[in-house]
Amino acid sequence: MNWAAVLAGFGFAAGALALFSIGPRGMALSAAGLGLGMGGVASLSSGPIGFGSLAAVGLVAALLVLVSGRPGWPDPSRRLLGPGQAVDRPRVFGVRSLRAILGAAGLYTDRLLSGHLTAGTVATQGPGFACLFVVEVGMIRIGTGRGPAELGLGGLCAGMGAAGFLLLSVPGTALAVVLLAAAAPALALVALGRATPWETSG
Amino acid sequence: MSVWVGVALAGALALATISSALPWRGRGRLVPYLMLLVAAAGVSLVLTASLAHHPPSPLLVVGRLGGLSLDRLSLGVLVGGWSALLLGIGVARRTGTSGGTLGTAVGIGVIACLALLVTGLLPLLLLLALMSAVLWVRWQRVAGPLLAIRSLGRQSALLLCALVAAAAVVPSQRIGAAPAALAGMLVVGGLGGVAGLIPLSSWVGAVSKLTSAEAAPWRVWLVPVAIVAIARVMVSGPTSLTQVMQMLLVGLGLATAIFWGCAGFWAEPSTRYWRVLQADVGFMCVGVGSGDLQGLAAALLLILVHWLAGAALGEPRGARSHLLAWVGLSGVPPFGGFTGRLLTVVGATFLGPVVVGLLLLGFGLQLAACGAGAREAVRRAAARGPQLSELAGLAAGVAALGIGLVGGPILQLAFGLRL
Repeated sequence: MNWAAVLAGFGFAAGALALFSIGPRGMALSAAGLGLGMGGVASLSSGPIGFGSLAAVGLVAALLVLVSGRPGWPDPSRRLLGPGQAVDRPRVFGVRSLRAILGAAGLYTDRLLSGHLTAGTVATQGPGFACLFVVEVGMIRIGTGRGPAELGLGGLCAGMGAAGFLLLSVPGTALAVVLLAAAAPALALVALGRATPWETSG
Repeated sequence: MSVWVGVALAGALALATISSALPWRGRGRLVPYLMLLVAAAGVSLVLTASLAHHPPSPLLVVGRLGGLSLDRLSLGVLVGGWSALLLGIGVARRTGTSGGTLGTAVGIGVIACLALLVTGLLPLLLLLALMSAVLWVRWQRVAGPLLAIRSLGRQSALLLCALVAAAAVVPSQRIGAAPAALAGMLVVGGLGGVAGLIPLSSWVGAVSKLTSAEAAPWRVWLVPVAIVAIARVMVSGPTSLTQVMQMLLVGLGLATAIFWGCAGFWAEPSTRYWRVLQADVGFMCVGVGSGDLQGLAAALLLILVHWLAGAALGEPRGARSHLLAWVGLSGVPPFGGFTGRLLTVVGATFLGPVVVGLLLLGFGLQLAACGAGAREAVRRAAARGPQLSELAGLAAGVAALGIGLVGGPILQLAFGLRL
């Protein structure tokens, strides 16, 4: 079996989940999926350490987003941003349709770009392609985002995709650098995961 | 150097003579035209003299910054930033600056210290993104979820993506043509976004909703640190990356200078300074992007002028201090704004006549915007007498004026830059 292709497929699935997920539960699922998916891609050249570091970041972020909504738990977004206010602005497309269109266009661009990338010792271009796709999902989530939480999720996608690519292309990369790239956006996601959306329609 | 001294003296003499000879009532109306006249004469003289020594070349040149001491540059920005912060607090002390405002400025300053002292590219970029994110959280708390503030949040997250992704692409050392272009776009997008370079500058409208003290961290810390970071990448990055960055910085810098120059000319008085600063960010990026030592000196000189003039304009009841600051910023010889912008033009002459022409257009727009600011300041000064509270602002304004006269020694003293 071609494990590189299989793990790259999991990376794409994690990216697709992050592209379309909505709400705090969707964000927690996305964080867990990104950790496991990108960890799997990174493990192709970095082994269990690469998988463990990214998976741990994703799963811990998912857990913290889930528990931060329970009564009695501290809500960092309210403390940071103050009470939320809704800003209504109608959209031409539904937000998921818009993301699907942008995602398809980005997928094609990533395919062209990944032909120029040599990702370490892995024979197939699929894993590098998956990392690029996840970064691009982050850009789309930020560009079409409706609130601070989606900025956090977009940042997490970019961080996970970049960290996966870093581990994939340079197996000797210091773990601290990878954790910095992935964990800083994860912290932002946890802090903003429960922030009130600013737009109410669309 | 003798040309500079001659132009400086001639400009100062002309401005002083014509201004003092005019009747008081008409002076406010004529100030912009006078500034235009004197600046046009100064620019023509200096360009005519300097173009003979800088024959234009059709090729972009990288690597002229080779002898630059990056540590000295960072130290200069660090010391200058803290001094500018203290000066701003001193000038605006009567406005009752809150503890949160002060805490944010100091907190961002501490992150800026870390960003300037680290040696690696990734920590530097992440710390820059952190500075921008802290600013967004603070502005969101102060002004609420306005469109421009939301845009800043989006900007912070986007540049985080861009920088993190660039950090992943750059160190792979297996870059061909397409990834070099990709890395260049990501680095310029991220660093330019921190400073407010087009097309990632829509959030700059947010500053008009805030007090000058709230918006100060962007002027004092974010812009200078972003410019130093760009210079650092230009000096130490691979040639394929710096060539892409050079093209992007020059193109986007020109667009920023012209677009925000127009916006500054038509802006409301309360937002005019921020538009002028925004257009000067375009000049700074062209200066650093030109890869010429004079271009970098121009960017640093403009940073110094904005540290001083921005502090003077932060005095809410100022009139005479505002006038001095606007004249210092305007581009009238021999003051700071003139020296900074003209050094940018001189440093970019090898990029060809189109770039020089567009820079001069931006120069003229800045002059018009500052002229409008100066005219308002003259009206206010005529309406109210001298005030003791303006003293700190006046000192800052005088320094913004004088810095153009001693630009070379100041740059050498502050940043270790020898022209």
